[in-house]
Amino acid sequence: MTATTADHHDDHHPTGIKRWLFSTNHKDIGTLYLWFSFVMFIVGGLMALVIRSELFMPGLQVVDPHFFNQMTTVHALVMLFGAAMPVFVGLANWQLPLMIGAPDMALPRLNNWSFWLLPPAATLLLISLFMPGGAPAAGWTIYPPLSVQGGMGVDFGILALHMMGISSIMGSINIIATVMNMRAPGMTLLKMPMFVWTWLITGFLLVTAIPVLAGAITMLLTDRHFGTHFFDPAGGGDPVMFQHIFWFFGHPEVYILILPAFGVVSQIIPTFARKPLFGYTSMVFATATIAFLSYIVWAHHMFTVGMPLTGELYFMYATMLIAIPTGVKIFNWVATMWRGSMTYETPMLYAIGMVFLFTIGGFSGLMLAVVPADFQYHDTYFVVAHFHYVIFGGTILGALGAVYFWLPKWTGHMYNETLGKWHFWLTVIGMNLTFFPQHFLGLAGMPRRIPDYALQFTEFNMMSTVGAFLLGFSQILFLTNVLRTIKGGEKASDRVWEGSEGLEWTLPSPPPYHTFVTPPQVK
Amino acid sequence: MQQDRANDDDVTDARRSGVRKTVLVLVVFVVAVFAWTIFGRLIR
Repeated sequence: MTATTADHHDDHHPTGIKRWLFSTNHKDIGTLYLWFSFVMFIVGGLMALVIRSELFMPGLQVVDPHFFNQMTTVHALVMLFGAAMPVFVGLANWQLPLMIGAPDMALPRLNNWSFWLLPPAATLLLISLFMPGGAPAAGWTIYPPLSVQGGMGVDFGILALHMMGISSIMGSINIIATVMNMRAPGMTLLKMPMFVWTWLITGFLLVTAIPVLAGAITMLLTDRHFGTHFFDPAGGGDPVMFQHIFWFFGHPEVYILILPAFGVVSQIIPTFARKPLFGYTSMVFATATIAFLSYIVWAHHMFTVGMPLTGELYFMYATMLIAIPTGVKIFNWVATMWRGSMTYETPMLYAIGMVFLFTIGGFSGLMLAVVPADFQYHDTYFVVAHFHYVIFGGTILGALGAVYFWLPKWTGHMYNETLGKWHFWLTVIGMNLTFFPQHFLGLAGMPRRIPDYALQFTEFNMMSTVGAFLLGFSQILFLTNVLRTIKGGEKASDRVWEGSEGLEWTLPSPPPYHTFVTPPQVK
Repeated sequence: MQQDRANDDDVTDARRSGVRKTVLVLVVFVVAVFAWTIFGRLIR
């Protein structure tokens, strides 16, 4: 195809509902993923507000304990599988082809299917709330025997997880195939932007971890309905085996959520520090090392079920090793900012906030890795505080930063900077007010997943609830800003940011419907 | 121009073949991990 005909068809696309239902265009599917994950973020957030409302005061005021357990379980499943994972697949869909100079994803039809599996899966999960016996209520870890004893809602949950898992596997196969085969001539592996690297490694994590989860929940299903005893001691099974299998998936899952956010931050910081990323190669190897280590540390989630001392020591020290490549990354981000010509537009605020808050979550993770300390912290609010610093402070702040960073490129308009900064500060204040007091609650012994608590925990719980409502309602600013930017606003230049580097910034803002039909030459 | 087009087609063919091989390897890997997770418990 010559350049002339390619340009002629650049912006031709179907219109109406068909455009979205049958689209094989990476930009359209990226947009669908991003809106879907935002809707799930709001749904999961509303469930968090139900939880926090109940916990505002001791005693039972708002919901009954069984419904509370359903809320904690479905909130987590919706946030992890409906919001945090799809948002980065959306970002990957929009950005990877633009960043590597490819015309689209390698498997566009599979891409359409990957997305359209998600809305029915989410529907299945959410309608389980209205089943007899309610939604899954055994926690997002769906440990047996509770999950084997649950009602029909657990089956819906298992089916929903299978569908979301298939979607993730297809998405990651597509991403790996795209990055390995569709790069523009001259773009060698070590010339790829960090966001592409982190997604390539995340893709490999997904294709290894998700089939293990699929195996675990399939065995759960056969234990529930087909007379097997994989996890039932009465038939020679072992419930602890489920925990091993689950966490063999579950720990890499944490890095599936955080590595793409690392990639985003590695794009944003050099742009606003106006310096190349410090230690690019070490960043790549640190990411790969984190991914490898994530597969050999799973049992630190289950020290309290009992294991040989050598096992405890191994999992403790292996877990602590993760701090080294993670420290390399944090050092490199700080070194990139060192003596840079820094400006603090909203994406940069999110990137710095992410580095700061993720580091707090990383440190509390190190505390939890220490076996004797973990015996005290296990199943307390300290764990809840820890993983929310990692997932909200790391993953979600990274995703929000990414949206502000690339929104002008996607829409062709600049977002409102004042509104963006208000959104950042209210989100960060709300997040810290919600989760920081939970460290103290956990250290004082408040267990997680309970609707009632002793009087001594009241003040910190009240602070946490006020913070949660502030955090929740501040997202209205984000929605307003995004909608206003889509509708209009100051025209964005092609390069958008003064310090931006990379193929995506050579395209017009917004980019035409079809881009890089003729591959660019990377020098 | 014709030479450019021939080169483009070569690139496209190479990409198509690479994508096929990558997908085949990954699908076999995913199925193997899933099967091992379950059948590894059965033969324990």
